[in-house]
Amino acid sequence: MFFSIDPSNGIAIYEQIVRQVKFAVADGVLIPGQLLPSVRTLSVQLAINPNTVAKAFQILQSDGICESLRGRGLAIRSEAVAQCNQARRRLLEERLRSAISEALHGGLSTKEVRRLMLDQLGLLDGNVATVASPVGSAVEESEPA
Amino acid sequence: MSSQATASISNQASWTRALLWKEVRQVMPLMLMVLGMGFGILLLILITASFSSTKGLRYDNGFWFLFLSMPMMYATGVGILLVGTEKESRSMLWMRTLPVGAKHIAWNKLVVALVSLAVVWLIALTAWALFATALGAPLSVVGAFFNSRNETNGWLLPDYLMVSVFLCLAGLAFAWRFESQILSLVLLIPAALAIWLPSYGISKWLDGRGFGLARQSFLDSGVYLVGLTIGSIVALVYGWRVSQKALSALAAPSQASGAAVWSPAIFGQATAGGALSEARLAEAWSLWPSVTPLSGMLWQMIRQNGIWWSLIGLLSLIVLGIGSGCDIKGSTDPIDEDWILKVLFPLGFLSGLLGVLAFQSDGIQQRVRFYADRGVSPTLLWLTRHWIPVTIVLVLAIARYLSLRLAPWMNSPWIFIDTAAVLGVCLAAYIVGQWVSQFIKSPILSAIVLPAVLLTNLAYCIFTVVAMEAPWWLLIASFAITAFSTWWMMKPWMERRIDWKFYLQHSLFSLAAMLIPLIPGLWKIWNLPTMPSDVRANLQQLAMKAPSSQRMQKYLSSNYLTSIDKIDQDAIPLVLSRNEEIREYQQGQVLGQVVDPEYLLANGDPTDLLKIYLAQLASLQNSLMSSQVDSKMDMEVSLRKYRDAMADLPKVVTGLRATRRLRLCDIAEQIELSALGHCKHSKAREWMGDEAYESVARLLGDDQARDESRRVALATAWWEPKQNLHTNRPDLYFGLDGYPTQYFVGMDRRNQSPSIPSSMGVLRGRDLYVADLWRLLELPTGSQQAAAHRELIDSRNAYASHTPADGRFIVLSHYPSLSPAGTWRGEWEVLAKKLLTEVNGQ
Amino acid sequence: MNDAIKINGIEMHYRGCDALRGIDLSVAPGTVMAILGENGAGKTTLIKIMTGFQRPSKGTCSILGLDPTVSDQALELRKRIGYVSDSPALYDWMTIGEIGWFASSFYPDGFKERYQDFIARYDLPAGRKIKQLSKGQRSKVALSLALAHDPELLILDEPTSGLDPIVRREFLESMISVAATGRTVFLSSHQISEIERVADTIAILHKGKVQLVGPLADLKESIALVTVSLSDPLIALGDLPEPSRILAEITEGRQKQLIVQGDGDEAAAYWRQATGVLGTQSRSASLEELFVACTRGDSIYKRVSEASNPTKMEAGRS
Repeated sequence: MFFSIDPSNGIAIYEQIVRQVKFAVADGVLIPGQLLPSVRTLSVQLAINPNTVAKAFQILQSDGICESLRGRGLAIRSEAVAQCNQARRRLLEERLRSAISEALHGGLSTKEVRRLMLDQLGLLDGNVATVASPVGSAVEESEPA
Repeated sequence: MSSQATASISNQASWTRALLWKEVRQVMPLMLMVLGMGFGILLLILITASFSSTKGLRYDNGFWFLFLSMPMMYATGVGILLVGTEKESRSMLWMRTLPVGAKHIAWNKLVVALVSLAVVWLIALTAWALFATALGAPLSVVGAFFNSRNETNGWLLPDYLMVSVFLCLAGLAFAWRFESQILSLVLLIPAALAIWLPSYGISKWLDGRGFGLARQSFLDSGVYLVGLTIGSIVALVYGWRVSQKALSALAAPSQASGAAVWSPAIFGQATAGGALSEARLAEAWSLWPSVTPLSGMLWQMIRQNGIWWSLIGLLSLIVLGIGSGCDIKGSTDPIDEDWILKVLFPLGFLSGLLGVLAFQSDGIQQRVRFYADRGVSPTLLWLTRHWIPVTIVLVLAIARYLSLRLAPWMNSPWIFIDTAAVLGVCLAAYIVGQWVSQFIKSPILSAIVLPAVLLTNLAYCIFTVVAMEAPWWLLIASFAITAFSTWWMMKPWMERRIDWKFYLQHSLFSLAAMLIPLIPGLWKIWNLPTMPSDVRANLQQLAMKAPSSQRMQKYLSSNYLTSIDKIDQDAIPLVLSRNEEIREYQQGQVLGQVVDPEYLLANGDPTDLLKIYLAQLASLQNSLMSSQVDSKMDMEVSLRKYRDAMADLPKVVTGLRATRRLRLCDIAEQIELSALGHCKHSKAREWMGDEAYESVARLLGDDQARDESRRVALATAWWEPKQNLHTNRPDLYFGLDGYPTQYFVGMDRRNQSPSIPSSMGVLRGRDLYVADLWRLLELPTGSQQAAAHRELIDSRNAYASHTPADGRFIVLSHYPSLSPAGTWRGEWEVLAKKLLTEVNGQ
Repeated sequence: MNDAIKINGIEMHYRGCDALRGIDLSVAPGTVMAILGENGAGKTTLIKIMTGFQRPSKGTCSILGLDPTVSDQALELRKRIGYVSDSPALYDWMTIGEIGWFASSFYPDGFKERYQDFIARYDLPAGRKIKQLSKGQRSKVALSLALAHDPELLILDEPTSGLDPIVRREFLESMISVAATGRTVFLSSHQISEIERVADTIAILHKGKVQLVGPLADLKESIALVTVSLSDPLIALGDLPEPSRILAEITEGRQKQLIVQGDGDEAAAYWRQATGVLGTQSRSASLEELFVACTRGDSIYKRVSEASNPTKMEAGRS
């Protein structure tokens, strides 16, 4: 898979890696049993500090996303998919929450906000490729500024 | 050429000023260095000459070399410095980005080069003129060239001016054309030859006379001048064109720049056909075997300097070939001049160049930091820089030995001495060169300054050995310190920490190296006995109270009498009769003249005149003694003459004393001695008359006045030469009023070396002698101590001779009196006192 | 675990300027330490002292257990580290291959092979003379020479200044390879984006002192940028409750931007309560913003401990 690391967007690099791995699993880009690249390879490829990569892998391991296979590296666990889906869902919740709170902060009423959301849903429904389709796109991370 | 279009007038003027300032700043180091060297050597010469006792300080025709070398050295370097350093620091590219035209830049450099050259000429010529006039030489010596046979070859200043202009312009042109500064410098030699050889050939053909190369009088004919002018114009035009091309064209890509001149590796241009050799080299290096660091470093040196070493080696072999005909013990004593010029100087210079290469080639562009960054040991680096060049020097010495072996006329010990001398000088020159290369950062400055530094070292070595009596083996220590200093300073040099601390430490080493050979001489001087300070104070006081009269006059030999010991036996009767004639002629006038001290002093050697006087008195007394027997008429005349003469005698003596000259005081005492003799005659009173007799007796008995005049004369004689330092008569400086020092200090002049310690020894000896005399005067007349002290003084003096006290106390020795104060505290003073008491008693 | 680099109280005074006024740093082995600073902040001076090229006016330092102020140990040190200075000296008449062969004689076996690998990796023509290379290629040669003897410590002084992005990327990758094998890297730079990727620990140098030092991740986590909108520009915001504190503050119109050490959200919430405040926002500060904050105006010396406990802080006026 391809990672996209932006060191200066406010999210710690290791956190970006963790999220991107989780999303990749959720999207099906990484399938259970697939090996992650070694710390060294990945750090050189991304041009980031190996300790950062190591930390990210450590977190992934402790979150139960991947497990260490002796002599071969880290592999995605089959149970990980559900976890990652959950994680993604939580993230989306967060984003939605902050978008809504921004709207409310800006002075929109609850009715207006609901109206906005339904409009958007209407526009997008059916026009966004889902994970099920082979053309999977990794979800972009962007910080609501 | 549109780059100039946009610049407004006011901008251009300010740019011009700024550019000129920058150019001037660039040439300043060279100017200061050249002038510093020149005046430094001059100072050294002045110090040596002022202390030397054999040669007073006078203008020597050899000084032309010193004053001409300054503008010449400057002219060689200025063009290359102005353009070459620019190229090296790549500021040329920056300059082209300025809104100043290429013409402007080139013109600025040309103007600054020529004007600064003119300034250096002006300074050199002014210094020359001042120096010459201060030493009493006429102004026409400025610009004249004298060869070793002291023939003047015309006034060659215009020629030398043009040579310097030509060198300057050619240097500029070459620097514009070529990347490498050293190359431009080296090319000046063929360029100069290209002018000189044809001029020489043409003038030889024109005149059809045989011009010896040494005399070079063809230079007079102006052909050389014409050749130089043409050459300068060509250099100017060529340089201008090249400069415009260099400034306007874009820099060629770093691949084959098309430089047709083959340049050695260190300053090398890219050679053409890079791609092919690249591919070949690409595989090759990985197959090379691993080597030790030492070998790697040697490889690096050889690759870098190899071509220069080969060149120097080749030149050395040529020199050895030329020099194989002469050896150290040649025709001229003590060392063959030819050998020095053909073998020693060139080999020494080449060894110096080897030394300069030792560090310079690694120093440029901070290359040596490669080693520093990798923690290479400074000692190892130092050793590898010197390993091969020193080997080359040793090989040269061996080659010299072999070339001498082949010479059939050389005998064994001299071969070794010759080889040892060559080896010693080459190593010394090498050591100086390697010191220069670490001390001076810029390679061009090092190359230009090297000959002057070598010569200065040579001069200094000669100075220490000859003038300061340094043993030659101390010089070895000195050079060892200089060699050691670069090792010590290796670490900061490697790491390019070249700041004031670096220069300070280096200078301290050099100072130590310079001072060590001076130690024996200085120690000797320190240990010389000095005059007691109270005596010194008294003498000084007395001398200053009685201001010295006229300057010391030259004591010309007198026309009056000829000393007999100077001619051969056959001529003696002739001389005697001539002397008699002079006496007859003089006797009428001499008495009158003798009374007038001014006349005495103005009239040549007063000694002879006074000998006549004494002889006259004696003959008068004689005539009285003989006329007793003869007629009465003669007796009266004689009596009157005698009486008048003796009446005048006190005047003569006091007049002589009043001159305050030691020599004349001594002569006065001779007269007194003679007078005592006259008074001792049984009939003296009768013949002189009471008045005259008593006045003479009073004079003779007045030892107070005599002592007083002696003291004044002594003080004046001791003090006066100290104020006349620049006379040509060293014996006046060291002597006492014309009494040469060696005759009272007791030194054998033949063994005296012209060194500073021995000169100072002589001076101190003189002081001590004067102190002894002063002490003598403090002892009462006729006392035991006085006699003992007198003995002591005389024992130290190899030439002391007591005044022979014959029955009549007449002294007419034909030797000049060699020692001063010969009559002081003699027995005669006691007799004179007795005489006075007799007279007073009556 | 012994520190690879330990610097205590280093001061460097030149005539007319104090380059370093008391530096304390320690670098654990196997980490990447980056020092950040403006031009003239003293980074190169510090590195020169560390490599023994300059004697400090005061203070001690120990690199790999060696004292660079002692001449012999400095030479030993330079043999064991890979040092790339800001303008590395090379014999430019040598070709790339020759200089590798030449340098290999100073190091133990294996240098040539590793050098060859690097040359190949960087795609450098082994037969070309160094004086004909571009700037980037020269830097690569210098780096290859420094890495080829597999040093335990790599010291780089602004290695990528003036290089194009591709070369810079290659340098970064090399640095990371070295770090990944457990070696220590000490690097000075003012390329903030690179440092953010590659550094474990950073130190910000300003006016000869270390203004901020600590693990990068912790620093970024514990420092937040809070933007406060005010109704009136003259309103002063109160100090935050311990243990958070304000590092720097800028006012622009009716908005203030504050760099806060501590929880940004908490601080934002705290100030939202204050009178005259219209709204607050908080986000993590980027390294660049941190850098600017540390190097502008009156600077405060802070140390963030490894436990990233904001209570353990030392502060002092510079």
